[in-house]
Amino acid sequence: MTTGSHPPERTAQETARAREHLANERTLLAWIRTALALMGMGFVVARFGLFLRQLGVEASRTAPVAPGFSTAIGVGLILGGLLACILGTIRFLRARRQIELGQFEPEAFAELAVIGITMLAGAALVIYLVLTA
Amino acid sequence: MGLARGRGGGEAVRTRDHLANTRNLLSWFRSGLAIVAVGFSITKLRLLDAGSAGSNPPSHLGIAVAAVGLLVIGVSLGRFLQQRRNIELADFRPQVALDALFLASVAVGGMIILVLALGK
Repeated sequence: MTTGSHPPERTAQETARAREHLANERTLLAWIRTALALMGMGFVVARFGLFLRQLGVEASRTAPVAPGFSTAIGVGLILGGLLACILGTIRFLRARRQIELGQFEPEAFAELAVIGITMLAGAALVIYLVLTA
Repeated sequence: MGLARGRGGGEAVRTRDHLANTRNLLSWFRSGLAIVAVGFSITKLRLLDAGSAGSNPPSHLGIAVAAVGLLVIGVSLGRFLQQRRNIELADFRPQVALDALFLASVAVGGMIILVLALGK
């Protein structure tokens, strides 16, 4: 092994480990993007109904729907985003340990929880759109 | 110790496969959420233009778009769980037909929305 400007040779194992950690970090970033998308969407849903009501546009049409309905849906979506943030971070830290130990356990709890809450809020949103359109 | 799991590239490859699968699910999820947002906008923004009701897109269009977004999220969850099993069994199958169908639907839907947005 010559000493000089060349970095020391990495073993195949070390390369694999680095790539696992980078993949884990990409996954964390994907979770954060998902959380931001959910929170942005939730904010729009919660506030847009209010905006239309203030303009007086929706007044006659929302009669059968409680005024807080769209706010509740929006808050549900934002909570889903918060859940995605928390569960994604927990998953990231746990996967980091598992990568070091060489024993990765694929889990689906975070995915199921976030998609579950979003599907509930989304179904409520479609019902809300049907009632107010 | 999990030596038989994954597609044979060792534990590191299996780990990366699962992480990539999660990222793909989240990507699909965001796509579905974006479609729901489009449906929501179509339905809600037409109320702003209530004066000229005749030229507005029908309200079922936005509702249908939002429902399709939810469908995309549901289907992507099913695919995620299926691919998760397949990664463990070293039996990964790319589902190009479903991807192509989705992309074609978005293209057609985009054209419909374009026509409705420009049509007066």
